[in-house]
Amino acid sequence: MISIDKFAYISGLKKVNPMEKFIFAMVTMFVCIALNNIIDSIIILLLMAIITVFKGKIPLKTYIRFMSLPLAFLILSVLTIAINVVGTSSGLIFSFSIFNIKFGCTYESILTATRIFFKSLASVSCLYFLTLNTPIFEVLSVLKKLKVPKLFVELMGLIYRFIFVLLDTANMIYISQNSRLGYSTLKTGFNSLGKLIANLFISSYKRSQDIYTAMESRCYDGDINLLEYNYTYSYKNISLIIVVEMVLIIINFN
Amino acid sequence: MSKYIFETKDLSFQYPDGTQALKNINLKIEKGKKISFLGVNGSGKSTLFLNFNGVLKPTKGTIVYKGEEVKYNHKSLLDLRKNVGIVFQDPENQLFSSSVYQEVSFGAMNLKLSEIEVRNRVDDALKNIGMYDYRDKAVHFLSYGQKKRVSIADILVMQPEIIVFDEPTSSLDPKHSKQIVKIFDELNEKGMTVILSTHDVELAYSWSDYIVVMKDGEIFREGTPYEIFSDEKLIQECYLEKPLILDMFQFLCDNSKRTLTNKIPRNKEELYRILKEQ
Repeated sequence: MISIDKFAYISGLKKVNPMEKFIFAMVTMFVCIALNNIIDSIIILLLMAIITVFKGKIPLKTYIRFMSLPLAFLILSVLTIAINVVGTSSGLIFSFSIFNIKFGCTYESILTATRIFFKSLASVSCLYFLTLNTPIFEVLSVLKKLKVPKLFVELMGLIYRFIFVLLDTANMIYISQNSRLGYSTLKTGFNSLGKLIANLFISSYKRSQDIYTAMESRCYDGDINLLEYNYTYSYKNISLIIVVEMVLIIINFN
Repeated sequence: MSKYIFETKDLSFQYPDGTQALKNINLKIEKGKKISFLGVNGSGKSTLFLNFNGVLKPTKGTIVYKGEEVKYNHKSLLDLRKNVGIVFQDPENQLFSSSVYQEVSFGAMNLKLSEIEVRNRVDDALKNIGMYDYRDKAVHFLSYGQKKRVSIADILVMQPEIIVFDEPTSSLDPKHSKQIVKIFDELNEKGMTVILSTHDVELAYSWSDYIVVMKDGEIFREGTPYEIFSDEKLIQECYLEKPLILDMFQFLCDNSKRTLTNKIPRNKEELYRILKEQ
């Protein structure tokens, strides 16, 4: 999880306007889902991979590893679509029965499964493009510009910041417990884990109060106002996005 | 207007659970001075600092800023917090944004300044503490010392008249401590009043113009560094320690059976100079 976050800060596309990246990822994803076309999905998959690996400078190996994360879920769910309960035996590629129920696989169902497989993978690659190339606070500023309720954006920002603080604290408690043999047997392990979680709650609560105090002392008045980054729109990028989407749509209707 | 920029009059503070944290604090702070607060853990330094800034409201007594009593309404609090900035001990408890640049902008944005002014101030604050190159970094990738410096920029951006540091050099290595002390001196040269609490007697002795010693929520004694640290009884009662420089100097004076000089050395360099002149 954390390593995904790190890549966004060293990405070669870090300087690109986050709004452009956001629009590119989202529009491509919607186009991919709406068109529901295997060729388009494969093109999107390759396109996102090429941009992320060559422009974003994310190592190819890492990218493949990230892409294979959702693969297990995907294959499982696609299998259930490909293999169905069938009534007749016409047009079956293969079939088998369990307890007198006949399961089979038709040409149609395989096509649907393949379509869904590539569609999901392509959509995931769009999201990876966004997360691997855009630091969270830039995504947040895009959401703010898109008039997402302020409360959500503020909460997302705070949660993101404190995930790391929470992980640090948990890690520290874990090490101190472990160094005192807190995890030597299964029983003490569960006992220690329970105490770790309880303590984490208490220390989080305490920290939230400390943070509030610190914010109050800086004239906090209920609204978190932060300076937004200034980005210029690049006409080249915007026209490229439009061209890519148009090409994808044209391929679908040919 | 008096020469005191900040005063507390009979200030007492009691926590809701009944702990009497501060008792009748009477302080007068001169503009542009370097002031250290000494005292054991739990002697009320941090609570007093939170009172300075209006985050805690004294249960008794008043705070006077630039000759005007603080009234604890919205406007007067805003004015106090703008002018008295606190840098908290643990930067982890102060930094709430994930981006360095946005984090530093928070205080300035709350002052409702124009965007250009905020940008200028954020850039200046980051340059002052030498973190300008890190402005696009994420806070959780910074080291502790870097976080500490960002937490100072957080306050500088509001351009306060008084800046208060709660144990600034604790858990910093010598190199970063020196950097931070250098930042204090630079701020002070610009006319800012710098207040800090510390357990480091060497720092308090060599750096401050004035020292306040606290014990059990009261001001036990205040005075110049020499006045404080030449008082053996005070040092014992408040669990302080004599700065090495002063200790050595007095040892040399006692053993050479003559006064070496009228000027008492404040740091290593001054002591060496005196020794050389002999």
